[in-house]
Amino acid sequence: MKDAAMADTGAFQHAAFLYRTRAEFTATVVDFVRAGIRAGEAALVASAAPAIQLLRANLGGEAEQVAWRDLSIMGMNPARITAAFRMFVDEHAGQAVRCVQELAWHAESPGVQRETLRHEALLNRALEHDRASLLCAYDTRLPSGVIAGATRTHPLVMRQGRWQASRGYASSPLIPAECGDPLPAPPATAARLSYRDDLTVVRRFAAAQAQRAGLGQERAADLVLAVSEVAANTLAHTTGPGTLSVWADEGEVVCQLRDSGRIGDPLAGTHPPGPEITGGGQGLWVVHQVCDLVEIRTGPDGTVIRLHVHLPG
Amino acid sequence: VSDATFHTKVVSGIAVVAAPEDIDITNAEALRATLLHSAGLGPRTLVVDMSRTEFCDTAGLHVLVLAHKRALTDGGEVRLVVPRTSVLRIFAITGIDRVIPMFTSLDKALAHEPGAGEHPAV
Repeated sequence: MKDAAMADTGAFQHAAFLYRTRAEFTATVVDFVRAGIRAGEAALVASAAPAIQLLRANLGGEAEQVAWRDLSIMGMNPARITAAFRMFVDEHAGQAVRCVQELAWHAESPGVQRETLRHEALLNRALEHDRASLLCAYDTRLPSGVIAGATRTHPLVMRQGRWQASRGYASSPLIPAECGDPLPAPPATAARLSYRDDLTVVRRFAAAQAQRAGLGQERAADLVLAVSEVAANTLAHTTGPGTLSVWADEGEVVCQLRDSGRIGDPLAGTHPPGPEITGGGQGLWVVHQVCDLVEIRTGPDGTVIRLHVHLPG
Repeated sequence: VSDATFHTKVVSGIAVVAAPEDIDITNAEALRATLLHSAGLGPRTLVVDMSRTEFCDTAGLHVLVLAHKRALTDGGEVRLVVPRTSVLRIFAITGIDRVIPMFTSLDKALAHEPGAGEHPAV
């Protein structure tokens, strides 16, 4: 059986599947998903719409037993995919879970690339205690840096039908160094606001800037919510002021909040609050849900959180 | 505004708290204190009227969820009056709209039988 190396072992397994053709992708993923369903496991596939259509057609009736997550609808923010896996595993407590993902590695934005790599790396921590097998599909025609990233973030690699332990994984840090690359400085023309205690002013400022940049009413409200949640963390966890900078960039509005705090948990914001909402941590989760991309740099010098929301059209 | 408590009235034996325009971390504690005080007025069910509310963050949600849980253990519940769609967004994102009964008007919240929320159309 092709997927013997990914049978339910009661532990988390995370494999990179490097495929050369669409036919190989389809055959392997269908076998993997089908074996899970037949073993009584819960199955989830997260991918772009065309791959979902292809897999659905090839799975036949068993496609109805798969939870499909269309990444073209969920958007580009990889942290939301981490959260979706977390929710799926929680919904199937006591049951082995089998997941497949094919991420948007073709995205041109270096920020999306970095956060996608971070998502892959963090899954090793996010699901480490769960009975879950996760197969991540990579087209071998992707840039060599993406394939190298896959071998560093996956303990297992499957290539041409053969499973191997990834040698690069063991020697790599939990989060690849490039995920912490410094962010380019905000443009000199960015609008700036210092805040310390009044969040109403922060929201008004963000709303006015979002409107000026051309965001529609709903997305502007989302951005204001995200900005307010991050600024609330400044008030809750630091004594000093925070600085909000807002600017428009190629097709998006960017809000950056800088303060003297430090975020200790690399998984902050990827755990859904659910009905047991108990305070602390939900703010960042909401931020991830409403933004198209969130970049966080945190350390002894403080924290910078950059929120991206796409402009319409 | 942050240390203000919010207006409470009793209608048909149910305490109704008027929530402020903006609820965030700077006044969530004041809202918590008001809800706790109103719960002590006697009736086990509490209505939080968010008709004026245009913004609510996760600190505000946290206070509402805790008040609802406390009311449930006393055999009552918290009912939210949320006519504005802008506030509904955060309730939907966090799934709290499936936890606390929500109504589009104060009359509906007061008239309703316990345990069955009328979810406003988003």
